[in-house]
Amino acid sequence: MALQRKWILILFAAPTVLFYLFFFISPLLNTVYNSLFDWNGLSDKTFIFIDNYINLFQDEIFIRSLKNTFYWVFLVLFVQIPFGFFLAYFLYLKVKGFKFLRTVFFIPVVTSTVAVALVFSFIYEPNFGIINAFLREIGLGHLTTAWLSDELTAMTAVSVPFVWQNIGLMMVIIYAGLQSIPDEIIEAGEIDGVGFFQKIIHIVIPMIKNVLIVCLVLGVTYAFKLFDYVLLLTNGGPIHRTEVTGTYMYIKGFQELNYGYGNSIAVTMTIIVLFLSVIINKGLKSKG
Amino acid sequence: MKVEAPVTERQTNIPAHVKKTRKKERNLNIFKYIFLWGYALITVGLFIWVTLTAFKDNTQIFTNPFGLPESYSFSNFAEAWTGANMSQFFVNSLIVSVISVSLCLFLGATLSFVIARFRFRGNGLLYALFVLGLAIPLQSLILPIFFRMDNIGLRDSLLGLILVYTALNLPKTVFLLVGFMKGIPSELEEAAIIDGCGYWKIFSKVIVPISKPGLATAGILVFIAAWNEYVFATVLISSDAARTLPLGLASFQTSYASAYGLIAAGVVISVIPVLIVYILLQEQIIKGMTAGSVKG
Repeated sequence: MALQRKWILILFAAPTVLFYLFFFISPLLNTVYNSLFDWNGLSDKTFIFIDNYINLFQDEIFIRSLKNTFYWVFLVLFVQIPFGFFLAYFLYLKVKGFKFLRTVFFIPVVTSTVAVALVFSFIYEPNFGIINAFLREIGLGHLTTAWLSDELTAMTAVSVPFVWQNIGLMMVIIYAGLQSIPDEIIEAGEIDGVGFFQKIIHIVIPMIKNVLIVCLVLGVTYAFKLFDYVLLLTNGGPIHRTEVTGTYMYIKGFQELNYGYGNSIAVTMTIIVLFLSVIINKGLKSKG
Repeated sequence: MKVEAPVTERQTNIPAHVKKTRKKERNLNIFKYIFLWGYALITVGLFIWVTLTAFKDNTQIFTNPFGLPESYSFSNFAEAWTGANMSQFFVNSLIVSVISVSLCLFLGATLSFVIARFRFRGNGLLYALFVLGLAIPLQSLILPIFFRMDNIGLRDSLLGLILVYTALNLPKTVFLLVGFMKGIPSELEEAAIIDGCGYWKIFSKVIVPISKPGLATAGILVFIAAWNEYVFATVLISSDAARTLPLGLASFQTSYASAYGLIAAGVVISVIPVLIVYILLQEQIIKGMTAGSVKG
């Protein structure tokens, strides 16, 4: 009977496990393995051990792409999460039209990145785009520019859709966290007459610290994986100004056929994300 | 938020600092509404602007970017749907999304059943192997997955895309389903065992029907992810016939570079199905996307 049970369970689990090993785990291990070779994807591989990684950290464009990606992490921390927090907090304080507002705030999250990118390509369009049209309207025509190809504005322009699209996701996660705060704690604060910001800093944020950590880990992962916007809006240009690690991996692997090098970028990205996730979880949670 | 019984200003025994707090509260309330409704207005405004643009021709778009269109002709929509082949992309996306969801739920449910309902050595490890997939940026798998699909001859095919989407969405599916199935009381299963049901019957007649809400949540999330996915599709698919909606839409940027009305129509067409799914099943989607984040 016990033996029979074992085989039945294996029969249940095997298709999924084999499928996952073949299409997920094995590619994951392949990335690590292939990052140790000089290979264009077609001809013979040459084992070069960690040379790809050594070159990577002397590659100015890679360093810039890494800086740009960390700029996104910074934006998640100081713009996306705070914005999501205030949306959630104000909704939590009870407002008229709660359902409508929450529905609207979350719409960008379920919209495809391609649609969002195209909408933003309209917003930035030099001739009829909202920004330039608005600037002309209020007599600031001299400030108009081609936002996505101007060296000074391109990185900011390409970051806005990235930050905007997932504010709604941060909002719903934080809102769920706020709902778990016991009423007595909020009420106690009210009786003591603490001010708005004091209440947020000393009562609310400590209570939802773990939820904020989840948001941060999610945001870090997103900064490293969502490079659709760059691919669609600027393709890394002008002159690598908007390159992020994802697009650089893509260019190295598929356009320059430097497959081994591309894989070393992928591995570096994954290690950074896992490392930051562990640090954020361990570092912040232990204090509480 | 609880507010004390209303106190009129005439009462003289209100201390000054309380009055000040009241005023602050009123200001906060005004700010709250401006912040929330202002942000909502911007979001809705963007969608309306794109929709209006879809009804305009280029002359109108350039001379009157914010105004209402002169007439509501659906020519841009018709041109996008038939001329630019969106109907084909739409069907491709539907095929890929629906089959990915089915496959993902089947593979996810059978494994989750084993992980959630049975105790054996290596159970935790098996679960960890799948949840690991949640922690890594999936897009970093793009190079090896391209080669894997190329090797087995499934690059540039809808089937290949389905298999990739299924694999990429398994971690999330298993995570949600294991969580759900662990909450099912074991008496139900025991009753089924006493009735002499085999394992397959317990799974299909007891566990799956009870897990329907969990399956629905996972299914919707996988559907939205597959419907919207762009990066893997653009790498794997090269022929026009196998393009999905996001790919087709992105290709408008180059092949219809200055046909802004047409691009806007394409955006509207691609967003509408997901918007309908979202508005109908909002609660489940939000619950699914926040699952596990609060217990932390």
